[in-house]
Amino acid sequence: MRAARLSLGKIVALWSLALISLLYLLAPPGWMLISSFSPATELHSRPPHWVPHRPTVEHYETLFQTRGGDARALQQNPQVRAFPRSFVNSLIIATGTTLICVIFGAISAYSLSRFVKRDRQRWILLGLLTTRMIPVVSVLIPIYFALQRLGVLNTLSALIIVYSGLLLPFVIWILESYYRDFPIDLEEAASIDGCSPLRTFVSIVLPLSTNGLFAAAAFVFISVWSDFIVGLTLTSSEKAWPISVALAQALNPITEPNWGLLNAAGLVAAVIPAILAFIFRGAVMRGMLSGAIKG
Amino acid sequence: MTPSALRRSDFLLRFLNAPAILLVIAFSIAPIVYVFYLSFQDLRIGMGASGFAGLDNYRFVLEDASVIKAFSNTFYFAGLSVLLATLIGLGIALLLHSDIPGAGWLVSAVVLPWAIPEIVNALMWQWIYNPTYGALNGILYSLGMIAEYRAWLSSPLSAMHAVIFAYAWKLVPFAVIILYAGLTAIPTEYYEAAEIDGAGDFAQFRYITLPLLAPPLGVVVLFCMVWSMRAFDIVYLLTRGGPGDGTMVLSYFVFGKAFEFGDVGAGAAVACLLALMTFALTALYMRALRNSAGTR
Repeated sequence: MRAARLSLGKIVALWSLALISLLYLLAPPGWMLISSFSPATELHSRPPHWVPHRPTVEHYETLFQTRGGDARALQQNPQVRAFPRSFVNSLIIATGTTLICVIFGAISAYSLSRFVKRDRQRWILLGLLTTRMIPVVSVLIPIYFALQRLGVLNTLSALIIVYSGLLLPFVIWILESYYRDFPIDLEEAASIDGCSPLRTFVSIVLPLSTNGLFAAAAFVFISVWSDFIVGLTLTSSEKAWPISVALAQALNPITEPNWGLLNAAGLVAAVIPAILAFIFRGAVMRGMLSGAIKG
Repeated sequence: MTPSALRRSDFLLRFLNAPAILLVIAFSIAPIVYVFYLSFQDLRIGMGASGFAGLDNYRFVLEDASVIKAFSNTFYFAGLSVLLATLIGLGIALLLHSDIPGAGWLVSAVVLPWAIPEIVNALMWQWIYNPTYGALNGILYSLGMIAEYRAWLSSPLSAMHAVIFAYAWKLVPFAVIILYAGLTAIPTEYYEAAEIDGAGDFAQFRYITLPLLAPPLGVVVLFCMVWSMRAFDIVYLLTRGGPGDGTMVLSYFVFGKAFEFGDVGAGAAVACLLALMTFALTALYMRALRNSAGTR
């Protein structure tokens, strides 16, 4: 409708603006991608080669310590050694947290939307929203001391439990709104047929709410994978470092780091959340619109 | 609403609520209460606890010039990041809404900055700002805009603006998506009527789009403000609060005070003030929302 009224001059002007926007959004990660495939000599030329003359995968090979990797680069950047392990750590932490959050979050969100009185329900939801507004650095001090006293600092399982506690309010919040719009007729029918509430939930509600559950799972996974400050505070060695902390450690502030290696590492760290966000982009946008997502 | 057949939960389902409730209490509610308690304690690592300190921590931090600086830095950082992200976001949202052919490409590209972890974002910009090999220097030098390469993160003023630019980049997707949804919700009849009345593009934007876009703009500003007031990763990786205290923001200050200097009481006090500011902001917004809903 509106496109028909646009004059040619306007279309050209808008197109150039669109091109600038596209460049603004894509150029920074694009430069990271190009740099990760550029040999060091080309990265160190002035001005840099915008397209590498001799592209290479050596940074990736060094990063994952496979054949063809540069042993000297690894020696000069010892922190990079922790990278493969921290990648696995992050996978374990994010998967564990996602499972806990989605399973118990779904149960609690369902119970909240069905079995709690209206006025109490509003207070609980307001409380959940409030905890989400608190800056995480504010609650990290007590959490640090609690874990220290229990002797579980620097362990993967402690990180899973902490992340679950921090993200559950958000999961319950979005799943509650999902279940509120869920047709209640089926549950009534099951209930009349003699199904217990738990049975109804497991065999009728859960299978029909996989959409909402997957979206929630993607959010939790991305949030945990992307977190830095919780991991930084609660871990102290590569044994439990999540990928974000390993990345920050590799960026040595004293000597000039190996930028090819670091760009490769950054790219690997960004791939999983980027793929998840792409697959679930519809849910991501809906979630943002309900004002419930961490940026 | 709830039919009587569904009114009561059974014991097992209730029991299965326990893990979520316990986790939320243990890691989301109890720590808030405890950090508030800590802010009234004189607790320094390695000095032994010397107990109740009353308002000493608050008095101490509010008289500390570096805390005042961290407050003003945080407001400057948050204010400018939000302004930048909102303006760029509004521009891109308007482009998407103009239905130019090929706008679909832009939609897919828009989500990308959101999906990139904040620490990777920081790393990416650290490389772009690099004083000896960076792309920013390379571009400006090639265009003849600078005579020699510069260390963008080495002077407080340019470091602050470099960090803001990098952080705003990641906020843009949120702004675009909220504002684009707001734009599509405006009935096209309004524009058609304005067109008949002879209103130009700017007049249409000024008198139709902008007023009707006020609620989504409010959402964008509030959420981006809340997030940028707690920004940590970008400062940690790009500048560590430096040079001097040029980019020292509150969340980084809390982290340094409590975990690097071991002054837990003072760190907790600043943490509480930060949380309080976030609260105030949210409450203000909620009230504005209720008022505008009431008048309609």
